[in-house]
Amino acid sequence: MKKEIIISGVGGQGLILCGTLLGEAAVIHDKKYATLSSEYGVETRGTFAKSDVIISDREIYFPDATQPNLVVCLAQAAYARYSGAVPKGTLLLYNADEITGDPARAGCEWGLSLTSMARAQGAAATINIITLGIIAGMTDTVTLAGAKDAVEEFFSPKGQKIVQMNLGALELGYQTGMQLRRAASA
Amino acid sequence: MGKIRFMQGNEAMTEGAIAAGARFYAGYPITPSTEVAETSAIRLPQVGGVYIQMEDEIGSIAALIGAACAGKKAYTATSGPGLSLMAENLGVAVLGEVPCVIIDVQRSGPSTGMATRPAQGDVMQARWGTHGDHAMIALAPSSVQDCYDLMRTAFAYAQRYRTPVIFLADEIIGHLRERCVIPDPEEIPPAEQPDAIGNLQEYRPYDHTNGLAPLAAYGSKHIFKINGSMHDQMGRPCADPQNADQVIRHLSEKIEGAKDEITLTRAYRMEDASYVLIAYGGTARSALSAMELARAEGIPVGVLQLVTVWPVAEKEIDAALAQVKAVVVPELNLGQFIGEVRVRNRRNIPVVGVNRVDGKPIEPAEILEKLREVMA
Amino acid sequence: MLQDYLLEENLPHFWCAGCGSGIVLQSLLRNIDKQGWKREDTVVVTGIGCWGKADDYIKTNTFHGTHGRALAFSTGIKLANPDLHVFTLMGDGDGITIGGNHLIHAARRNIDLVAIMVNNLNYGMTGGQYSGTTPRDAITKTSPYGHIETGFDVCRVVQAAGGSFVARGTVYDVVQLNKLIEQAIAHKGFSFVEVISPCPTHFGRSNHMAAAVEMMRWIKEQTVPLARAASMSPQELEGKFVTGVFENSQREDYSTAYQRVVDRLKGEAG
Repeated sequence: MKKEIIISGVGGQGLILCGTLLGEAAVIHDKKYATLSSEYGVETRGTFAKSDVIISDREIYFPDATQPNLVVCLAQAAYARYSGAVPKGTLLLYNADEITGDPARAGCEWGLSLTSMARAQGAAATINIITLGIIAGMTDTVTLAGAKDAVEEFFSPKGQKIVQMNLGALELGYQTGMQLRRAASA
Repeated sequence: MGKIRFMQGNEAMTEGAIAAGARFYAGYPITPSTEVAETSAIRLPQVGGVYIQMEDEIGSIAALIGAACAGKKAYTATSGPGLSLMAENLGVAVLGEVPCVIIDVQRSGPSTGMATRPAQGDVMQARWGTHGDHAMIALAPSSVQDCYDLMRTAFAYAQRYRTPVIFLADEIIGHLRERCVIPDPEEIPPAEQPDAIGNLQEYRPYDHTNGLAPLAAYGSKHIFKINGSMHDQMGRPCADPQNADQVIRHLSEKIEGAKDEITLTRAYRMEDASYVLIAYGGTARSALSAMELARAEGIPVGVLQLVTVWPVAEKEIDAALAQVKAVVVPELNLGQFIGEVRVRNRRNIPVVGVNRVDGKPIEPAEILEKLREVMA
Repeated sequence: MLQDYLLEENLPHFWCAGCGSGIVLQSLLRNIDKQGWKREDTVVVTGIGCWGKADDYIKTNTFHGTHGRALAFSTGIKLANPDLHVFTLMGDGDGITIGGNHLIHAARRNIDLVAIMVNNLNYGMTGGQYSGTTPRDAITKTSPYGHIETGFDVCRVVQAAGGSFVARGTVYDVVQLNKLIEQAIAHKGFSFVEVISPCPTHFGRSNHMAAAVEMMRWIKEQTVPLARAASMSPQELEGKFVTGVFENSQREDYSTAYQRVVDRLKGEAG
């Protein structure tokens, strides 16, 4: 098993945290190998940024995604870079609340109202945790239990309320991911 | 067994340094090395060590050298622009023979270049960054585990050879997060200590007649002079030509002559290899992936990874050159190390580079393509 | 005894006749000798230049590094082992010109050490070029038509940067110099003493004071004690060397503040 995932957007959206929690779930909880390499500009906020996560049963050498299984776009700048540019068979998922998708690609790209989903969970900031859940649900990368452990451990210093909110976001993302997976295989 | 962590390379360097006994950090924050400073600022006071942010990199390495003379294992982290400023006092550590570890998380240059983009453009700077004749030790990690483990090696070399050691990391590895096993505290072996200085009547800090004298610490029973100008065995200024000749040859010889101990390499699938990829640092991972792609196509390729970049792993490179039909040297620069392979190419086989300087890592497919080219 | 600290095997010293460095060295070593410390607990750090040669004649631990960086080396030594008595000897090139950045930051951090900057108003070792303290209109090898820059008032710089003991003396008034160095040693924190010192060989020769005695007389004439300076106008004080203690205040030094952090963390962990 080797899966490559690109989580892209702009700086400040919590992309690296999403990738880190994915990697932690895989490495610490699921005992797999994982790498996270990021690309970003000198600006901390607002310009294109991405995290490449690779999860595998064995040691990973080159840590950038060259054959991504899934690309998630959380900002227009990221969508502009990847839409139409990913290899055949790569699934592209984007936040339809933020990004105007190309109608010509409606068949091979999936838009989701991630911001609305995050707001419904209590905070727009949970978008990266919903994304984590979607990735866990859609791909055989990490188990839900592993992702839960990683989320809980990360947010526990911020109090139970925040932990519960993020676990809720994770669960919602996971269910969404499972649905997408079924739809994709149908 | 230790603890499995999903850790960043820069953070692993800090943990590795502390596990190796380092208790002093002086530095000036610079991308992409800042996480070493930030994690050191958290961790060092917890273990009774000192973290200080100096006014610039010139002062940073000066403070390291001072702390090392006062008995602390000392390290700093920087990137190319900072290493340029450190070049001056790097020479003090060389001629003063003061152990310290300088982490260089390489980024795209020259000058300010592209701060967040990877490069391996400081390979020659690590070797010749400070003026005058000298040898240098540079170690290049290629994984987060290396960042942790090799830090101990770096401090051991620094102490054993009384020399600055450049930890030649790059943005790829410094910012990479991956699996890293941190040993439990009771599993960490004690840090290498300098040999007992003994009951010498008169401690000679620069006596190298029977192996180099270990460095005493200010505040110990020994009173001694450390001197960044040419000096005699006592550290007194000395302009005698014979003495200068001896000292400068000694600075090179103590490292070049101990090559067998210092040069660390890793051979991957070299047993039946007809082609070899010679690589170091983050680019070694591109080479390993390229090797897998090539092997899947039935091309007998091996990888020789240079963990020690300086001094040159002559024996291993010679052996590879004697074995294979062609060599590919991928580097994130315009070919700073390939010359070391070419000068040893006695059979005149193809030795070609794969070079990238656009701030992107070399992709395995590029190496494979070059390999096919040389095979044709 | 002075001999306990003076490394006589390296004598005669390197300095020119009429140079003030030997006077400062003697004052420093006599003061250190009075402390009753163990010799191995003192480190003298020097820069590069005429005064930077002082470590050749000192029997304690010494560190001879690079031009201008003496305070940065000293910072590392002191922080690594706060029990050491650290002395940093710099010239005007080291102290305020190439090393000015280190000077202001060491003062700001209040590193507990004694810094003695011998100011001979030019670069003596390299043959008499101008430095950051060379007075306006002075002739040097690199200001052959008269210096157009203004020299630093170094004590004001250090005081503004936060030095907790700041004083100026001259080699003409050795009694005062001894006392200033004594006070600097007694003070806990960054203790800075500037010593105006003649360089008859270069500065003197270029400015009609080639004889050692002429240059010493000039320093005497240019010197104004702090008490008298208070009643003088800025115009009257132009080019004068005001001597005395400008700052002597208590402020927590760096190592003490740092140790508090370490102790607090230990308490939280334990």
